[in-house]
Amino acid sequence: MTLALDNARELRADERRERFSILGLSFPALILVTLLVFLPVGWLFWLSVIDGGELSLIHYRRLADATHFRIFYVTFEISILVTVLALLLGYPLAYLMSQLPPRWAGICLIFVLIPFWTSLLVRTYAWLVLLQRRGVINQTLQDLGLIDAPLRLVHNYTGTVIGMLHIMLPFMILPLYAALRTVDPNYMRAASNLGAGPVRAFWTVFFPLSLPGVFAGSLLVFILSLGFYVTPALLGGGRVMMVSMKIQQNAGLYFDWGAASALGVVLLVVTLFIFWVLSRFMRVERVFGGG
Amino acid sequence: MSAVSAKSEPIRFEGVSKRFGTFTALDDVSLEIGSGEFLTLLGPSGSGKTTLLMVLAGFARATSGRVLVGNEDMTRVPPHKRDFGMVFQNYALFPHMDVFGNVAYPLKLRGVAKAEIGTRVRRALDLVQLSHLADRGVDQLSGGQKQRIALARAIVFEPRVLLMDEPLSALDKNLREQMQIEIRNLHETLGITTVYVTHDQREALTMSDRVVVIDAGRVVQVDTPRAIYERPADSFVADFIGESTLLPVERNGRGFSFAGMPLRLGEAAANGDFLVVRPEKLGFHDPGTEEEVNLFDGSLQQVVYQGETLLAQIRLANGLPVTLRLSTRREMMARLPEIGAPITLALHRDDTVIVPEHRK
Repeated sequence: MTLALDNARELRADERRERFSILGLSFPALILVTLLVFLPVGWLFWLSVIDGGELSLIHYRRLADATHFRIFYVTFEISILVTVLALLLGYPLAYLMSQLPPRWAGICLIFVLIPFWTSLLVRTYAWLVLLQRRGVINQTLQDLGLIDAPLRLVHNYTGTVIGMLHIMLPFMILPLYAALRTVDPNYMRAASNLGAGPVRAFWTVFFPLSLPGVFAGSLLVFILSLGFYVTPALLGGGRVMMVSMKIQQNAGLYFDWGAASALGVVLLVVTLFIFWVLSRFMRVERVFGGG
Repeated sequence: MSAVSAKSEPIRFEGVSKRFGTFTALDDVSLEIGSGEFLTLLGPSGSGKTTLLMVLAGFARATSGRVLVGNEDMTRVPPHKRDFGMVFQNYALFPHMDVFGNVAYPLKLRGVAKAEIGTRVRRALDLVQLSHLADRGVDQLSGGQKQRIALARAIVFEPRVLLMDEPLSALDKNLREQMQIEIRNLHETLGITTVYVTHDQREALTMSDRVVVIDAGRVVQVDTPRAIYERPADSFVADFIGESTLLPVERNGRGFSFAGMPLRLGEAAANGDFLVVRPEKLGFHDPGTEEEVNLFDGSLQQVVYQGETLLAQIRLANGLPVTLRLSTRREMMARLPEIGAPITLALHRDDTVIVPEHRK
């Protein structure tokens, strides 16, 4: 009798140990997330509601003007544009990769990943070289006699969008590819067998089934674009002001941490709001991996 | 009351081959399927049975040969223009549509008027006894229900032929046996030419008008289930269908003999290498039946109890093993000697089947 009790106690202890060891392994990440995310964000929020040592909403009130409205407008416009373009360019490639035999899909994947692994700064400067007045693209077009004067491709809106699109494409393609690959080819066969031509089968069956991937990629690109700094700063030539750049300006140039923090908080809240709205329409946890 | 009418057209394969690189999946297959027939393609995995179905459905292109349905050459017709219904192994019900949407899909593609779609979907669902599930999502269905919805979707547009690719392999045994009967009944109601693929030989025997046994991309035998089982064409069919022990025989004038003993045969065999011994065809020796049976002496080695039957392992006098299957009826069990004791087995001459060796 006591033997059976001892045995049950030992088994329970084993179970407890197992659970603790898993908790122990996740502890470092938990600490990092808490220290490096929640504390700074809390600190930012604190700074944004303090002025001259007193609680105040002055930093937020200052945001409500035409200049700041314009900055937010441009930020969203560019983010939406980049997201839509990345989807239009990324979907066909992700689709191709999902249909290829695994070997060839792997090779394609490497070509997507190489730029992804290359430094952001390097790629941005590379675009500068390509797009500038005497850059490769303008020179080639002029040599071919297609244009008389160089096109203004950089230090403006166009350059910003081109550069950001390039940086963002892998963020669109990777989740899309992961989602498209899980669409059972039998669905398309079934559609075809039931009488749907290739185009019809794609739009009525494959595309609806790929929507989780479309949402995942778009959300990722959109949210990353909202806070993008390096590329618009370098390729925008000062003509394109996005929220992140204004934040940098406030903090780095004017040492106005209150204003910078308020902008940061607004951007964060808006981003979370968009995330929340989208999560009403779909299961976000399903989008980011998982069943 | 014909709930869903269907056409019934014959199918003909003419010298169909399919090669993937150096691998030959189908090797010069010629086959005629009668209109309204229920034909099953049966073979081990990798035998080419699924490839043959894929060629018929249009998902795989034949390397050479022709596929005809009715009088129409289908070889180069894309799948969506073939007008064939198909039930897939994993059902392939569209998860983003409900049951109604799935069954209505082929009708919508054909531009059927909305009111008529409603009627026809309901009729198809009635036929599989699931009309009450029309509004359900696909992932709320059980395996058997999915199976029936897939069937309803495949027949709702009155296809020219019905194809089924191992449709029951995901179901558990009881449900599978129930669905076999249901599919068979549905086929009788509709009279539609049906090509069914399975690797389950019992399923093939249960359901089909005729069975095509395929191995290594070649048709080995096409026959009724009974003929396939009772008169296998060669050692592969004898071995693949049902349980059997193949005992080597020698030619003996115009007949055959086993271990020096001439065999009584129900019907003469032209050539042969093996005697097919099926466990349930063997029995005890009843005196006075000597003219009708072949007798084999051996000793009982082992008995395995399996519920409704038991299996007895017997070593013949020349050392070869055979298996005897006995009903567990009391009087049968009572005739079984002790382990190690001698036993004489009888095989009726009509059940004494000689087959040639399978040529690869």
